[in-house]
Amino acid sequence: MAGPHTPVSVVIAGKDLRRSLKSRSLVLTAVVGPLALGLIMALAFGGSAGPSATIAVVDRDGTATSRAIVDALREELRGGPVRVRADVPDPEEAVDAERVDAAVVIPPGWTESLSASPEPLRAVRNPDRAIPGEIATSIAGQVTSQADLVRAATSTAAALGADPSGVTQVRPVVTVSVRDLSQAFNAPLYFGPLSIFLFLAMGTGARGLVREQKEGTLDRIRSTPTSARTIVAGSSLGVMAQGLVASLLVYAVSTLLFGAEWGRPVDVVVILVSFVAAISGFAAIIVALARTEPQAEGWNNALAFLFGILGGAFFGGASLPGLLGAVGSLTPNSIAMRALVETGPGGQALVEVWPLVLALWAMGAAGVVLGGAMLRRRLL
Amino acid sequence: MTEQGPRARVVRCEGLRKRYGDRVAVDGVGFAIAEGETYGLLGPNGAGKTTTISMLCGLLHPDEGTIEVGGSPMTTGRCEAKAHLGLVPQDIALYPDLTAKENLSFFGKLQGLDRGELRTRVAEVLELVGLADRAGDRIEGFSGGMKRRCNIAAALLHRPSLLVLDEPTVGVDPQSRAAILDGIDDLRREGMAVLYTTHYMEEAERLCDRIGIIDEGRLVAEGTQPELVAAVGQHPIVRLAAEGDLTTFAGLAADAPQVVRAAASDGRVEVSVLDPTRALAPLIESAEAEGLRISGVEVVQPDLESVFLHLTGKALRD
Ligand SMILES: Nc1ncnc2c1ncn2[C@@H]1O[C@H](COP(=O)(O)OP(=O)(O)O)[C@@H](O)[C@H]1O
Ligand SMILES: [Mg+2]
Repeated sequence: MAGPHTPVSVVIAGKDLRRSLKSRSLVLTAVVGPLALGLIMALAFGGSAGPSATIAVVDRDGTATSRAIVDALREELRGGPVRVRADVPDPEEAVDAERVDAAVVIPPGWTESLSASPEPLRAVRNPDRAIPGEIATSIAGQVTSQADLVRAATSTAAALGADPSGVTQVRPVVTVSVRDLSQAFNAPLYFGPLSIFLFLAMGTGARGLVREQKEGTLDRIRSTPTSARTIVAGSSLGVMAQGLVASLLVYAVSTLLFGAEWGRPVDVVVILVSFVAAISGFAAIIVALARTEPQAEGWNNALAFLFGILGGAFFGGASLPGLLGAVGSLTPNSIAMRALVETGPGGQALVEVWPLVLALWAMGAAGVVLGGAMLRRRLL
Repeated sequence: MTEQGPRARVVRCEGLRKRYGDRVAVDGVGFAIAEGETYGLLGPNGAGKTTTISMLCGLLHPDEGTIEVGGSPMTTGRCEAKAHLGLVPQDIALYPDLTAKENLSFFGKLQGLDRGELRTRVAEVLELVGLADRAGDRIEGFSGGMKRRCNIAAALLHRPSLLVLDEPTVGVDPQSRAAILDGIDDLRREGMAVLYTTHYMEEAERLCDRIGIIDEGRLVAEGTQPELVAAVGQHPIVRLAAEGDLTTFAGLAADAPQVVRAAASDGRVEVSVLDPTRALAPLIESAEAEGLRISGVEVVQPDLESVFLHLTGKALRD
């Protein structure tokens, strides 16, 4: 309708969003929870306790200098969150088979290259293990840049007529600290818990119409010239708005306050919106199928945790082995996590992951349309 | 010679029927209300008042019957008829965590007011129900009476031609109750048609131009109060509060001279008589002869309560 009217579905959605912000339940469940869990995991990752990464250091050079580098790395990283293995023959195969989380390779001829232009160490990464991959890249980079320093010192000594043999020993000082980790790509630490808590909060939103029926406000809404379709659309829109506000808050606070790295903002927002749409779909179906509000709440929360665990919401998006992992990869949590990881810093462009984004929207659209139609028939 | 046309009918319903399983909640109810008229639907709890109203307001689809509000058919979907309607539900239908103003703005937008109208109407309506100074407070902090008043305010924003109130004074202090009834009188004077349900006979007597008496889903009588009293015969009632076999005594008393009818309902017997001064002594004598222990005697002149008793054989409130 024309005129100075806001569409009624938007009015209904706005009312629901306002109520959920006023009650603080949305912020407490879907924002504070994921931020706290994400931060705890980020900190645990940097300390000696908690989850760790196993990184293979593979010496393809085989000189005294390269062996010394391997030993030095093991010593430097001892007692920290990163476990170093020097007994891996084929780093690509080991990373693919997930025997190690990532690898650092000293290339053949590396010692030779030191005097001219040091060849960089190579990191072998698994897209599903973003943080160890980032650590391996960081280690490779640190060793390479120190080798370059040594080369500069050596050539300077030679130019000055000094004996350069005293500086040719590369003894890298490698540090993996909490600060390093927080600058690494750590969106999965926040997105994992967010994906679960968001499902809980959006389920509460999706049950709004059932609650309004019990509390009598739905009758008042229905006594106005508002169609059933508009009422259900408004409610769905409200659920999505709540999910979007919560996920954008988690994204913003973890980035601005905790230094988390998610990737290009536009990509991140598009993926978060798509994930919110998918969860709206599941929440709508649950409300439509459940006979009572407590039943809907039970189903919703069970599915939220099931999806979270199967989809690898805990510990950086690691997937489960075997069949569980295959099933888990179909969850919206896992799909969105993969999209985030693949478009993460240094990753692919968003257009490269369109099938993942499309899958999320398909789940959302199917759920909202089907669930909405069922709910409309039942309540209105 | 002046010719005054009949006032326009704002609502008309006919043959409304609704069943829940085997239970018939509303069984052939029909009435019409003209503009500026207050129509009372009087009946005990469970009589079918709320079910009737729910069908009338397009919340519930009737099994049978037709409804027209403001000249358009009422449906459970979006319809023109709903633009003429203001509903005050039986239970407070407001968001407790939003302020009075936020609640009214929300429902006003749904009723189709634009931004400009909304601002002035919210202020006017809050003023009307005496909540202007509490506009920014959440409903959950309101007293029962204030919630009731705000519940009414939310139905008035769009100046409906029909205001439907479902037992709006239940659980309200006497002062708020008087304010609510006065407010409804004012609205009626402005030409609004009012449908008012209650199980309080005094409210129906005080407020309503016409009254429909509803019991077990049926409209058992309809008219002005004097019409209703006249229709059932103006018989005073002798009310005996007593212990013993009241039902047997009521049966005996019904056959006694002077007695029109008699009915027992918990703890008392109500006997309609032609002349209480002559009927009283023999009644008490025979009650004592039957072994009843009488604890109170009262003579009641006919009112809606007695009309209801006459029509249904039971008390309006028990
Ligand atoms: N949703 C329902 N399901 C089953 N029975 C109902 C329902 N609503 C009302 N009833 C029954 O219909 C009858 C009329 O109820 P109602 O219209 O609420 O009466 P009133 O408003 O006069 O107290 C009652 O017997 C009540 O138990
Ligand atoms: Mg009722």
